[in-house]
Amino acid sequence: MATTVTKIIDPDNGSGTDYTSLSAWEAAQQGDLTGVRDEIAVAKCRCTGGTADTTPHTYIDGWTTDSTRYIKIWTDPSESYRHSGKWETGNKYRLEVGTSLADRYYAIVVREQYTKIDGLQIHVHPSGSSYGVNGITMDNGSNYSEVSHCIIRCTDEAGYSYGINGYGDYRKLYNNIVYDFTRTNSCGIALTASTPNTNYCYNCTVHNCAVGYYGIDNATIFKNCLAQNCSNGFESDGGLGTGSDYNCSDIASDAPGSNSQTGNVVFVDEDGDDFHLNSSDTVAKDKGTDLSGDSYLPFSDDIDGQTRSGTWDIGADEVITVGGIPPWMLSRTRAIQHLMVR
Amino acid sequence: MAQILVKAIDATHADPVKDRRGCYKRGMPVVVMPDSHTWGREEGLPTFVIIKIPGVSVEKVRKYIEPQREDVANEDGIYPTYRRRLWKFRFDDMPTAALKKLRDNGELTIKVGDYAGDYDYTWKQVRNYIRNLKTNEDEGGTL
Repeated sequence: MATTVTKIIDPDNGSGTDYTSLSAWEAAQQGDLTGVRDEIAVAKCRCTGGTADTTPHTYIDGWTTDSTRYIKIWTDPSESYRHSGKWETGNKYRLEVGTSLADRYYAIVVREQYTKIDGLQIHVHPSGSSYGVNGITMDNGSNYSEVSHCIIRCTDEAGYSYGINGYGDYRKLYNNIVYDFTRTNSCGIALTASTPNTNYCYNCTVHNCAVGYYGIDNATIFKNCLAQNCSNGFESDGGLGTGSDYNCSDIASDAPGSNSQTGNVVFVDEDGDDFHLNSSDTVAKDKGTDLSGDSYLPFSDDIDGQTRSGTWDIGADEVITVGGIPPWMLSRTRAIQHLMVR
Repeated sequence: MAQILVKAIDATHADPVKDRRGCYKRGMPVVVMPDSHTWGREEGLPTFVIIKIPGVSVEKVRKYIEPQREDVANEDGIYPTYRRRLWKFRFDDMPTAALKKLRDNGELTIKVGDYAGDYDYTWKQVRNYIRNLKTNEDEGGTL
């Protein structure tokens, strides 16, 4: 049985830090996990002093992995360094990549199969560059990789950019929020594949992007995905994945699937980029489908790590009422407490 | 003032393309940080060494962590990575004393401009051991 080897990444070099950037961890640990190492390589990201990880171009490349000896990059939700479902600074780990280099650049590029990225915040802001930027690129070779519970945003685009994109098969995205990739041809989530219907994008929220979700040749099945304030919510070249359904867009005849919704969703604080569903919403709330038994990508939580129940909501967040009482019926104090426990 | 974290040992991959494109080799810069940065407990020997360049901004040395790109853009107009890094410190060609210091202490301090503190070598001395892997020529520029 593979040994889990966990290293601590903390830009503030707090107690127990092994590496002060994700790039340094990758450079030190890259290798064959399937051979004598027989290892699951884990980067546990922290932010003990409020400093962001600003190193660009963290390529996950030059490794050998398989289904039981894989790479995991995450913030541990049992620690205090993971976001609470919206972009946060303070002691929340985040990759903030903004310094111009000589070409298109990336926060993270995954070129190895069986790479799992969970609970990161990524902000790409290429001020001064003439090139586009990508949050996470799941490049050729990233088959069987996963991205979940991540928040990815962009400012100061100079060229067309992507929140999450790439080419490969059997990639799984769920419970992610992507926003503000606004330039012409920019896109929140764009996946292509060599084999149709082998990428799965479930319960994601994309807001204020030129294109919300993009698929080529039936590459990706979209379920419970929410697009709001995008010029085009769901776009394809050759079709979205077979069985795409229970999605939502604010553009008529946009979201794929006979059970999909059209309308303006009510968020907790849309202007403040808090894309938790407001419990008063009637467009996405209780309009999704239960994916806990999905044959490709079963899961049962939301971006906050809270267990989804009943009829699922569309998007990354599931409205959880307190004792069955929705927040709008609570006192102001209780309503604030509700938001704090989300 | 900048510090460069440099890989001190080779990573390898059986696939020659992945080995070239993905694996850090001995002498390849990995990240650059300001002088005030403190390194983690595994950011040193035997995996890494640190090149300190007091008085030089991070922006001026950031070019050393650029990947080497393909010469031809792909259909998306992107120049894919050809090699993990464009630049490489030729540690093994450095004078014996410099190599010994790297092996013993894991760092070198380089004097640039009017820096008046302790140092091991000047930039003019060291730049002759920083190779551009595309042109196969050593660094001739100033900082």
